[in-house]
Amino acid sequence: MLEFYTEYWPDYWDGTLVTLRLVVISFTLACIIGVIIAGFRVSPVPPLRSFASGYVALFRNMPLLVVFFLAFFGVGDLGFVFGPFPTAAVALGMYTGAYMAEVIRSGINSVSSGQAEAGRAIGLGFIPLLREIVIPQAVRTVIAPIGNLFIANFKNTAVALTISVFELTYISRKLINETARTWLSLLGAAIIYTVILLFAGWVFRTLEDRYAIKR
Amino acid sequence: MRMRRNRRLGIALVAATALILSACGSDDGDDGGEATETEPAAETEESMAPTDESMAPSEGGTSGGGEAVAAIQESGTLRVGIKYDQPLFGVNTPSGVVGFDAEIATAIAESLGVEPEFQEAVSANREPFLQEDQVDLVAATYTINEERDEVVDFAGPYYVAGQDIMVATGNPEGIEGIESLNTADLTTCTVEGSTSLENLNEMAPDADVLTFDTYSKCADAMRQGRAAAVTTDNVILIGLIDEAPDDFELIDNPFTEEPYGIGVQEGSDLRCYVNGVLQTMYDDGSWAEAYEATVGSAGVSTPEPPELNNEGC
Amino acid sequence: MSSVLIEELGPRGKARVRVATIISILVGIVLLALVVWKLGTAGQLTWAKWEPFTVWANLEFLLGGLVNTIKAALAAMVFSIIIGFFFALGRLSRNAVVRGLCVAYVEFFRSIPLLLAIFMGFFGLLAAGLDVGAFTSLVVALVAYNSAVLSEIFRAGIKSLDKGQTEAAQAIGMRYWPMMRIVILPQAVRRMVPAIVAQLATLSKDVSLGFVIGYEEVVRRGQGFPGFSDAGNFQAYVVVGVVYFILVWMLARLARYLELRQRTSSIGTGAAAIDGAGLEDIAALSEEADAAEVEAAAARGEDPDRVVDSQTRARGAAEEQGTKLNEARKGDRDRRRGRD
Repeated sequence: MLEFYTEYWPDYWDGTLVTLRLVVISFTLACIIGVIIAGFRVSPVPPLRSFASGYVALFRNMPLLVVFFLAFFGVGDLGFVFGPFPTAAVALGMYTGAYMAEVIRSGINSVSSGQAEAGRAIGLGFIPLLREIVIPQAVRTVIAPIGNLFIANFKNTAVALTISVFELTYISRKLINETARTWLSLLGAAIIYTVILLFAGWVFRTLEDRYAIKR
Repeated sequence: MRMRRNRRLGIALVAATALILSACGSDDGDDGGEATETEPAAETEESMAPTDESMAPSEGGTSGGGEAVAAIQESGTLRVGIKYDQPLFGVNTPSGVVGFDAEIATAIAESLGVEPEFQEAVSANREPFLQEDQVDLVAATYTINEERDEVVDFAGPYYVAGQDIMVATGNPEGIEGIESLNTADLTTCTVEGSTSLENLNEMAPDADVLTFDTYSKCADAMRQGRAAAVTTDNVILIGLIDEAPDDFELIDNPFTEEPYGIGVQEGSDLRCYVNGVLQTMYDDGSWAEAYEATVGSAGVSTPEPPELNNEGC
Repeated sequence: MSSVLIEELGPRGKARVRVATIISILVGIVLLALVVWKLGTAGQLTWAKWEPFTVWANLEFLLGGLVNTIKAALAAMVFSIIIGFFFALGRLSRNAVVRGLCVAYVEFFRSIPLLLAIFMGFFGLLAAGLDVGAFTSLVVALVAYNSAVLSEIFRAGIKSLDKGQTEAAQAIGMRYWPMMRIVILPQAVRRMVPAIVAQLATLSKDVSLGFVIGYEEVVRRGQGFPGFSDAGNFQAYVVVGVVYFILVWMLARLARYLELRQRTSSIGTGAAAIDGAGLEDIAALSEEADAAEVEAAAARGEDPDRVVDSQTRARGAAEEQGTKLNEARKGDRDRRRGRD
């Protein structure tokens, strides 16, 4: 059993690196998209609000697999051809971004209206109000949900194997075929995921304990 | 119009299913079990290939035959297990089962003077079908291998499939064979978890690889310019080319060998009889005719028929 | 909308918003036109490419996939609930070994991707000599995965009950099982119904991953269209997306409805139920509910403990709001009466 893992460790390591790269890029993208869409959703301009709710509804009601296939084969049919990894990173970022927008919005809504009123009273405009008063407070209430989103995003990277990204789950699938040692192949990946995600969970819990607003 | 469309749908569906199945299982042409049990490429080499020592000329002709043959002639029907979803080899259509396997089986039935009666054989039930006497013979892209040879007997081989390469029409990259793919500059597409992928990894380790769950996705990847070549069993590739003859062509330089045989019950005298029929078909050109009418319709040239294994006949 | 950030705008503010509105509409139109133009030049808008989806036989085929999706989702849901329930109890058990095993199970299946679980259900079972087919494999994997998620929802649901409930039950001499059956579960389950329906929506999305083991669900069926008709990938996946959108949207809607109903009924306690808890009230509440639901959705499957926490929080807020509404309405009524 151990020989199996010492022998195939390089494969797992490659897969893990691809997964981590995908997580970092897609989650960064999700944060950016989330902030923008959440900003749209709370903005006083009606078309922006409609756009944002449309965006969120679209991605929340479609399976990630369909998003991937649309981004890869569908968009490819339009003549925009990108490699599997960039496509996966952007598609996953847009998907998680929709959830992120909702988390951020709920965070903004959780800030008591007195705070915003006070901000306006001292003459802050919409953007400075968001930046100086609302977001710093909102961020604290959303640490836990963002942590959960991160974990979900991490697990969702596995779906990228359907568009030929050779990440960790793909590697275990590949090893099944190469070695015919099904359970060992699968468990190797499972252990790596579990270790990383338990660690990530611990990090977010620690952050939460330190910064979250206790209610 | 509507009728036609529906029929088209039906055919395409079985075709699609075939692709899916081949994606899930190994793709040694006829399948051969689920991907999990694949005992990589080695199997392909050691498994078959007709044994040369046994190339004694057919003595049976179409006349020989023992009790099994007599029993079939008595009953008036030849029960044939055949694929219903393998494009160009065995496809169930509203007008009956068509394809190369169907042609061969029909010729055998004609020679026996009986009517063929087709039953669907899926990969997993071919041996049980024969062992439990559900069918007289199995003509279902049935790869001859040692494991199977222990429980059933094989006539033939009547066709040698092999892993080949499909490229865009005109072969713009000038790909000649598996060696041409062994470069990071060319992207090759195949199906995940298949023996084709293992063979590719082994024989062209430097290739840039794309994998999907079905071969039709590989075809799409080629159309979108994501891949320069698709590699898997020629049988599957020919099916893809048949769907889009303007887009793709076959290199026709297979680098593995998967001989297809006609499965009969262990120890049955039908085996030598079928060999005799096949020899006749080889000789009078009806084998080539059958090939051209089915597999050849996808625009691949007709190969020389493989030598029969007449050991013990 | 978020009343936190926007107050009644002055004339200048209104003018600015108007300008921004016009600009954003124009930008939107330009973008939309670009997309349509691109689709048009890529030949994606020709009727021939969409026509296959209007042929009934083809639609039947696609909807057959939808039926398969729903079948797998429902089957997985039923078994997940049963198994998840036992793991929830196991985690609350006083026996350290039972607790440890349950924790290990739940944590394991919550930290691996569903796809890996599906491969275990398919290739893993095959390797163990169980050739059970795609449907069973998929359901087994979904159950393993979702029972872990649900067990956390259950655990949180049980724990969210007032401690007095348990104490009261014990005080009148109830044993464990009768207490669970008669006192705890009926309350906990009622609270969890919306979360369960919402989980069903997630589950039906997850069924799409059965695709990788060849289960004939909507995506698998949909992607066959380019093979047998003039439809391209773009059309096929757009249509599959629309089918999914409708399904998941309806389930999410149902979950929301159940949740609001539960909330309004708990607000208007007793006979003095909110006088004509009209749609406006529900709409007002739904803003709050939305935030909570989303937070829940984001967290679902990850840390239901917190989900339920946040739901209870939101529920508290909603109740507060409901009370305010009630008061306001009473005031209104009083005023009206005064006028009369």
